[in-house]
Amino acid sequence: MAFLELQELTKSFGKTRAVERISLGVERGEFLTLLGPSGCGKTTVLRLVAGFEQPDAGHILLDQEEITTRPANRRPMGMVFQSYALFPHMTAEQNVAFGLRLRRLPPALIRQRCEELLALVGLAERARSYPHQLSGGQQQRVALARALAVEPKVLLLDEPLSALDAAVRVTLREEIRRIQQQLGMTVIYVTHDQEEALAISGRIAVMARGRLEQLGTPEEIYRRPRTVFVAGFVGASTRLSARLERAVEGRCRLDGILLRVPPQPELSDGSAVLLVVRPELVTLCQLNEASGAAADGGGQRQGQENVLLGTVELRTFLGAVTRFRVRAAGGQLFTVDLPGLQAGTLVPGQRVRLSFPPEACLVLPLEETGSGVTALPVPEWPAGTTGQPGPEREPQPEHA
Amino acid sequence: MRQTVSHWRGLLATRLALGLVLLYLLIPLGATLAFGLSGGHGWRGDLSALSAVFGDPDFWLTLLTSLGLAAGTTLLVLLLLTPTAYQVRLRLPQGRGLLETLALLPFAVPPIVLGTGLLQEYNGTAANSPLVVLLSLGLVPLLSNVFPLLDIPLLLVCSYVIVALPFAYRAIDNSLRAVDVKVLTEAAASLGAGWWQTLLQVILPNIWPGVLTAALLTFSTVMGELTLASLFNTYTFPIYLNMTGQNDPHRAALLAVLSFLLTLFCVLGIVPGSRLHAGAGRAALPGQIEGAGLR
Ligand SMILES: Nc1ncnc2c1ncn2[C@@H]1O[C@H](COP(=O)(O)OP(=O)(O)OP(=O)(O)O)[C@@H](O)[C@H]1O
Ligand SMILES: [Mg+2]
Repeated sequence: MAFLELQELTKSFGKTRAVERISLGVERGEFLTLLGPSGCGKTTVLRLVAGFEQPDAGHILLDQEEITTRPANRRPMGMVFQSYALFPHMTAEQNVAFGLRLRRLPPALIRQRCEELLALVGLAERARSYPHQLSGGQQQRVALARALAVEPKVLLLDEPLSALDAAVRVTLREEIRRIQQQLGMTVIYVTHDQEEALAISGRIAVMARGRLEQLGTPEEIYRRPRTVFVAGFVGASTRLSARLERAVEGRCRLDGILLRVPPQPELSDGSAVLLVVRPELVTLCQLNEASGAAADGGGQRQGQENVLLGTVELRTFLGAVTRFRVRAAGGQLFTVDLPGLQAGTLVPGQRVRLSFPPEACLVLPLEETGSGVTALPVPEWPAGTTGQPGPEREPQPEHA
Repeated sequence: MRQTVSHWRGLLATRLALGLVLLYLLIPLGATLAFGLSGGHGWRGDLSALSAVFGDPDFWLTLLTSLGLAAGTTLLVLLLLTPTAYQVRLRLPQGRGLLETLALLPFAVPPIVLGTGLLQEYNGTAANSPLVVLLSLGLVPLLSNVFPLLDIPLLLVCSYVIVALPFAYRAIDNSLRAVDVKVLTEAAASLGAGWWQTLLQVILPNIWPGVLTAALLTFSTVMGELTLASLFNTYTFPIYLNMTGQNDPHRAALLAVLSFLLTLFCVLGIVPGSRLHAGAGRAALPGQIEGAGLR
């Protein structure tokens, strides 16, 4: 049994089902992130764990001990809030000391702990400052030190960085990770920022509409999303609805084009699937001097590679990579990232050849209802965007 | 350049306005004092009028009674209202509207009506009416058989609490609004603080100016209340003041100034204390203490 166990947690607010039968285990010393779009119930899960809300059903066990109904102030949890929540009438040092004073530790020890913790978060010289004299990032550091002071068994952070600007967000998240590893702290971290989640987490629990969609390492979540929602929410991708023709051979049909995908022995022939292709796994090749099938990397895998023709519609420079929106001949939209110089002189309007290996295709079964395939969550490029499908957009429901 | 000029002009205007307000407040006070000391035939430079006031045993008796009533009422108001307002903000935000309306009700009921109503209710005959029995859970008839409820100062204090409710609740609730009660409470709870610890160590220091305002308003209300006291047959300072005024206006003027100074001292006594508590909280909530209007 895991260090912290959530079992079938359910919580409704009136008619809103905020959390529905969430079960997950957090190991000692683990950094677990709850990731999901706004309103999916991340905060509610955290507040249930902290004891600020009572679940309608389900259990919370910490270190084999049932704490479901224990009041918040008697749970060994530390909490860091999005709004910092420092006590405005206390200095940084007094804020950190608050929990220790409640525990009636000797003053000398309290002073020493405060110094250590403020040094740990890099604020040793600001011990005497009041919260309103500190920047947002500094306030959040104090809040972190304050939560760590009482040596909680689990540290809960609810979007601690979302009120900060981008640069501070990155440094502070690295620092949170460093401190977590240094102290071997068990952490549950809430964010709706997938990049942050991928960068910082040991494991990620992706949530949608109150449910747990997938639990796994950042790599698993990114490379092997198990649901259509996860595939769409984490990272950019091209999503194509297709039909498996020969499941065991990994052949499927996309609007008349035959594509090779990894073999899908557990799926049946003829089932509707969603193909997910990450943009960095597709290569583009300029079609000019009629030498259609020529300039492709290796050539020995020519027979295996999936090849489509298309036209560049949009080019977006993202720094390390250049992102292209390419409309294939069949009308499908592809997102393609080319690193550095490979982007070359490709410009909108240019005819290109898209190619990607079968392994680049992730196959997700789509539910079928009655005659046809249910409404597909295949993303359209929202008009006027730079072409980054993903977390900024409201995720579409999986089925109507 | 133009900015500094307009800055100075603004400062000057502020000073001027402040000076005018002070004059407006101080001139009547000074005139009253002069009138009181003069004793009817121009001030002859002695304080005989003052010593006559202090020599009156009724002065001390009523003053102590009123101070006691005021202190009791203030204490009761704060003890009742601070936790209630906090709890309502925290757990029952929907209930705030109702509470606000309830707290305003005493405004709609003149003290004379309140007093008469209370007298009717507690004077022993009506005390046995079914409604009173029901509302007091049977306590009123039970107690009024043992001793006359009307004569105990506690009942007067309780009715003063009702009179002071509107100002006091507003003052406290307003300062609670400036604080993120929910998040601070949760932060405190996650650090191990219970309800009382949170109220006393986290919430109270941050709403101290409002609590102080509530205390001052309550205190001064009681120190000047006449109607209820006379209905309840309690010989309080305002009644003494009123009676004296009918015989000796000079002495009454002196007493008025004295009661003003008394209130002022009470304020000054509390304000430095609040400094210690409020600390930086004051910086976060500027200008609230000025709301008391008595500095
Ligand atoms: N106290 C509450 N009363 C009523 N509804 C609530 C309450 N708290 C949350 N909800 C509802 O429960 C759902 C989940 O809310 P929650 O705050 O957990 O989402 P979240 O994933 O943290 O979103 P965000 O990223 O915007 O913070 C939402 O639909 C929200 O409206
Ligand atoms: Mg949230």
